[in-house]
Amino acid sequence: MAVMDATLPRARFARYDKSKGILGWMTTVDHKKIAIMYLFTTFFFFLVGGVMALLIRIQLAEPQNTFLTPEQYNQIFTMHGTTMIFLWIIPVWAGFGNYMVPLMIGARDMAFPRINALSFWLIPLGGIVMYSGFLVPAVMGSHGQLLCPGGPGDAGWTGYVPLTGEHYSCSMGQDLWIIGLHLVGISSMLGGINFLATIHNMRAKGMSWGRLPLFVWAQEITAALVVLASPFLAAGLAMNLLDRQIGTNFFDPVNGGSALLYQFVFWFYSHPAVYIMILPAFGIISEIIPVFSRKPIFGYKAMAASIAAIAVLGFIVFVHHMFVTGLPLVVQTFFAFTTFIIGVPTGVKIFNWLATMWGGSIKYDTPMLFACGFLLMFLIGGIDGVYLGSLSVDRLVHGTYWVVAHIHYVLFGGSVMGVFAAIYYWFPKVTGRFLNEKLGKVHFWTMIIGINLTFLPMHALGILGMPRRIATYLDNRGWGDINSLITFGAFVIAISVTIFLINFVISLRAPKTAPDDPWEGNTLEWATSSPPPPWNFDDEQEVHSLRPVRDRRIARKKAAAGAPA
Amino acid sequence: MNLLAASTCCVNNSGPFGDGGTISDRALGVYTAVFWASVVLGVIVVALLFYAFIRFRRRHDDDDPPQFHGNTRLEIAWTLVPLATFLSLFGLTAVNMPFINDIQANTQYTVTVIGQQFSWTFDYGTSQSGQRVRSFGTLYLPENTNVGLNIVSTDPPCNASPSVSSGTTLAQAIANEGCGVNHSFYAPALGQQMNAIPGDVNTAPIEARQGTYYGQCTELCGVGHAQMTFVVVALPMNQFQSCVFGNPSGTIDATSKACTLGGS
Repeated sequence: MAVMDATLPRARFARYDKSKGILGWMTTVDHKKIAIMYLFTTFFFFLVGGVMALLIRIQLAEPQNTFLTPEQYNQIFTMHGTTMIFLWIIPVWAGFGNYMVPLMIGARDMAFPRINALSFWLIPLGGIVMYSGFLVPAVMGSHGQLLCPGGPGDAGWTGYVPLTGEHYSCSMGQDLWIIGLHLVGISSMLGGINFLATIHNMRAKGMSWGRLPLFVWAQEITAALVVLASPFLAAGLAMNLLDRQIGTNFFDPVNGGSALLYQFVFWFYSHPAVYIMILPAFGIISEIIPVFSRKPIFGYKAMAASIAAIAVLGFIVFVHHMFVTGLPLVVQTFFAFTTFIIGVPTGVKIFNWLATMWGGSIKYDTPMLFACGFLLMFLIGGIDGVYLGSLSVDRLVHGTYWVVAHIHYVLFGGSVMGVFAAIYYWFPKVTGRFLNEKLGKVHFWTMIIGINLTFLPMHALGILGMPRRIATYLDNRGWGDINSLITFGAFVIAISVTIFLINFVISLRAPKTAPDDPWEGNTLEWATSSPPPPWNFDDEQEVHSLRPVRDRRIARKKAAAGAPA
Repeated sequence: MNLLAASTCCVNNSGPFGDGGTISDRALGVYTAVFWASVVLGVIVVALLFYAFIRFRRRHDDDDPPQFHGNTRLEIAWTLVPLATFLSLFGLTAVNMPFINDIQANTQYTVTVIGQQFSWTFDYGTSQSGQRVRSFGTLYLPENTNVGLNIVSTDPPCNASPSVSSGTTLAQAIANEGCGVNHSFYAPALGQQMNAIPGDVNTAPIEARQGTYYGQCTELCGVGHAQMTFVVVALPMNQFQSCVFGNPSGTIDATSKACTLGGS
């Protein structure tokens, strides 16, 4: 099969619309339709994960609560983490990338459209396999005694051995968790290869690497991380599955395996995975801030280089997740060093975003509000990470709610705010309609308040020594009031997301009023109609700068001004 | 929110990390440095961001701001300033870590910490009468004395009291069996945290001023994870000696009359 290129005739793509209705969606290889399915599916999982977060928060709202049993609590926080990471944040960016990367580089589709469809369909399949663990019944002995409690994976999203080994997790739910994760991982890797092939081979005429939009740069580097790192997760999961099912001993110390080995393999994937989750958000923020500030991105080369630097360094900081596993001090110290160093390119990005706004003309439409919210929340998430990078401080707060605060500021305050910025920014392009601005602003402010009510007090819990992943706590610890406040904050977030859903439904029923280029955009997705035709662009695209659509807008203005009255 | 105030708020040395001993003093010292560095840098960046948010908002629809693309000197500056800050914090961390991480060479006492689903056992070696001395759920320490911890995990079917051949330690014997799940010994007020991992012996020093300190498992270990709490009791040296090594029964616990708890 030949790789697609921009010179293929429009008729080749007009076929994309041949089947209508459900069959049309199920058989499509159009990157835009696939992307829409990605976005709906992942957002559904976001809501499911969110409901589980509320259950967690109800349980922890007061000391010695019995709303959930410890078994249920472990299942729910495990599925919350796994869902949010593997079925929401990672694939939602694959969804946006699917829609926007071909458009932003002036291509007619992804390089491998059928593989693209496969990447998508593996996501719901993986989710269903993982969630089917809830259906695994308990196994009872002949005298009515409980042999195995059943249920889904319940050993945390990290799935550490020996807890996930056959001796401690007898439920088939743990196998389904592993297999579901495998399917999602294959989806990720196929998608990553597809993005790399697309970005390397299908850029419009004149789009050199120095004119590549930063969102595409972010997707390129993310795809490279996915392709390089995900096989390690697959390997770790496969080894655990073999240990469980056919009696190998990779991770079983009783028979000479190493329990610690799993953590090395897991984090060699899962630290880069943090960047798989956040780099695309960096990308969209780097698109939105220049557009709404009417200025070019400040330090384009530094921005692209810092994404690459973060990705490379991202492979050599992973041991900070293992600072209290008893590794030699010299190893710990090395990884503390690299962890401090990775703060530098991250800081560079913050300063460059600031400088992009500096001297600009900033318009606060909802995409820009969410971008500003991203800057502030991600800044907090970056700073509280420095504490964890310092080995000495890590001994005080490792494994506590400080870590929970950190990961949620980065992944919720950072990635999810980036997702909402992207939704408000690209909604007109995808649907031809605007999301309601007033509801959007209410959504934004309730979200900012909710995030800080929920995740800021978690720092205090960390300082007060509250461990993560405990199903309940005694009332003499002094953690009760703070936990009540956090639970209140979680419901503020839930209300905020509900406001967004209402906005989404109302706006989809509104008339199509969005023009091709509603925000005075810079990049090629704004050069075609809203929504774009199946063939994306009527004409072959050619670019002469980082901001081709702005170039054309200025040329049109000049032509209009110069034209005789 | 004042994080430092939160860290010193609570009674009985029982909750927050902080002033339990010289190890936590070191950790808290580094924490304080990171705290002020992050406050200063954070406040500067947030102030600049809000200045930009407000000062450069769009006033007219046809505003056309100057199009500058970068400034090499500025960019070098905001690369080097965080770099210098991070390197200083790293240096401070690295200097303090041997004291926090390594058991001192002249350590007189070593306690084997045994994590099980879902309890903590502390083994002090043999008493004057030659019996193995253990406590359950309470770690007794001599005050202001650096004590080594050998931290291991086990569970049935393995034996938590395996026979120890000469030339090896109880911790090594337990680790060689390889049973159990991961746990983590965490005493926040004493600034120490270390995993118990099946198959491995992990070590950490601990030191406490006289008093009672609260601890808990910080690594998910199953349905009883939340119950895996313990208490650290630091006694005057002579009391610790008579309590732990002079007890004829060979076991002690918090309710034992043979052991008068100091400081409480």
